[in-house]
Amino acid sequence: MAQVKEKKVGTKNQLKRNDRFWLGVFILPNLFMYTLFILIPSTVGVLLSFCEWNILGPIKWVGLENYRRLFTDELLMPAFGRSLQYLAYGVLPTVFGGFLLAVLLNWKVKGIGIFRAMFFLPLTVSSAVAGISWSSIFNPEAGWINTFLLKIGITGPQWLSSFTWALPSITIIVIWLSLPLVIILYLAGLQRISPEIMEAAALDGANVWQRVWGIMFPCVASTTTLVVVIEILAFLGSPFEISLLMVQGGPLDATTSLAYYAYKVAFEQFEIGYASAIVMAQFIVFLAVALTALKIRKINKARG
Amino acid sequence: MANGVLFTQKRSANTLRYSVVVLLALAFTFPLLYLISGSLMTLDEVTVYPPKLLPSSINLQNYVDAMQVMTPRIFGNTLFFTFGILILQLIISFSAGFALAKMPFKYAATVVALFAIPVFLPTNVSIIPLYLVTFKLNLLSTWGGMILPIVGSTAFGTLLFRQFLVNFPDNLVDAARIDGATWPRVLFQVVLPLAKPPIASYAAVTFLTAWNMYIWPLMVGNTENLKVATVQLAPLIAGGVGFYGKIPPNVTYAAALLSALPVTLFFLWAQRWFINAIAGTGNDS
Repeated sequence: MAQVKEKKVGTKNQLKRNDRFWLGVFILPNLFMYTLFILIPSTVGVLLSFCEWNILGPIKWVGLENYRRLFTDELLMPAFGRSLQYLAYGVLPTVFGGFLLAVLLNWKVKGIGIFRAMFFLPLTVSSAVAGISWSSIFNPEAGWINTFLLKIGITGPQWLSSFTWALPSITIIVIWLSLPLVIILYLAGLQRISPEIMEAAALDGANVWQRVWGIMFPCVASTTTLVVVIEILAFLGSPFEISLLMVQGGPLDATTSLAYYAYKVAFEQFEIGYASAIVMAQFIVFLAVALTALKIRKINKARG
Repeated sequence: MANGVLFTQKRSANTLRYSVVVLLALAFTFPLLYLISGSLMTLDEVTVYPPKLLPSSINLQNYVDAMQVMTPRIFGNTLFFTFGILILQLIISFSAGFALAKMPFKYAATVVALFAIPVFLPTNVSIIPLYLVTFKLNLLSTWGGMILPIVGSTAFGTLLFRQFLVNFPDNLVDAARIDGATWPRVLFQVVLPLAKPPIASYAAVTFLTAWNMYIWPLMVGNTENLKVATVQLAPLIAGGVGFYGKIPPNVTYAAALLSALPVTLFFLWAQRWFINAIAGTGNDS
């Protein structure tokens, strides 16, 4: 639609010299900054993955050497596995939890605005503030979770200091930080469902559960696609920041995701080329997964 | 509205739903509510076992102490960082969005396509080379290095403004042009006054993002004169052990709240614009 409209723009008469000057003034600063800080770094990142460089020395072209090294790096596969764990524990609870909370909050009733705002709050806090407030929850001795668990007779784990529980703990914090966005997107989606559909379902005697999953969930399918993509990117990226803040990748690398590992290789070992190759490999793997998923979805759709 | 129809209109069902909403909201915000409560406790209260939910008296001294961490300088830095990004990016994104929507030229479609690239790139892909570019430009540990590389991510703003301005009535622009108005005049006097909604949405999203940014300011501006709130707060996590063991948890909580206060108040005030910006993203798909 946008294209059609553009053609009709009344200023169709050729841009004159003076116009071209202003066009340049309006567009070029933006294109310059965008090229310098987005396009060039992205291209440089790709090129560096074929090079060896320690920042101070000369840049040396090494071809596929960095990519070959990926297969022999003993620290790489565990980091990749942890990234997968973040995705596995994080994405679905965030998507379904966010959907159910949106259904619950999609309600015209007195005071609902306050409760919605409460669910949006984590959106406004920085990872640093989230880290501070969650350390009071996860503290192994005096934290709220273990105090509560002890009350019902369970000795809680060491959470962020535990090799097993640190990664799930970070995941919980990222879920908490991610839910507001998901709820907002689903609320917008739910408000576009026509009331007639819901009324018809109610008349047909469908119960609440059937209406939520049988009618509402399919009606917001496009929102779900968007949310899943956003959350996959979130759980690939955000655990890095939270882990860096709270446990610096530990204990014993237990929360070091692939992105964090690449950061360490770049800024602690100063192997810029190899770090770029790790980032590229992550990008290629997840792009391949995303494309396959889209293809499967298309085939399923074609089958009806 | 579809709202009321989900559950039967029975009063008991509504009471149940209301209680569930209230309980979940309290549980969900508990980490933040406890931050408020803990920030008002004395050191003895905040470290007692089992932990206490509420302070016995309001202890505002913690906020005075927290000002030693969240100094006016840190606040000033954070404001400068946030508004530097916001204003510079707004100017170049809005003018480019306007040109792409209302000044037809041969390569408009190509430029629009160029701006769509970052949608496919996760941010981490470019942070290492972005650091290197900043390093090569000699901008590490400078305000330029803090702000300009972030200003460069203009894609979101440019596409948002272009989308809005494509639907902006052409006859207003044409009328002004026929009257002899120059392009900057059209931009500032005709379009800008009517473009408040997308500007507000853009500003709300950018303000939150920039205020809360951590890794970039840590990498580029971890020095006394450039430190922003997140970088200052980070070492306080886990009860001040990282901060030379000097800052007790109640003061840490107060400092965290001080750093979050401006942005939270702003969000509650500008909630509508923020949600419009996000919900608009969902509309297109």
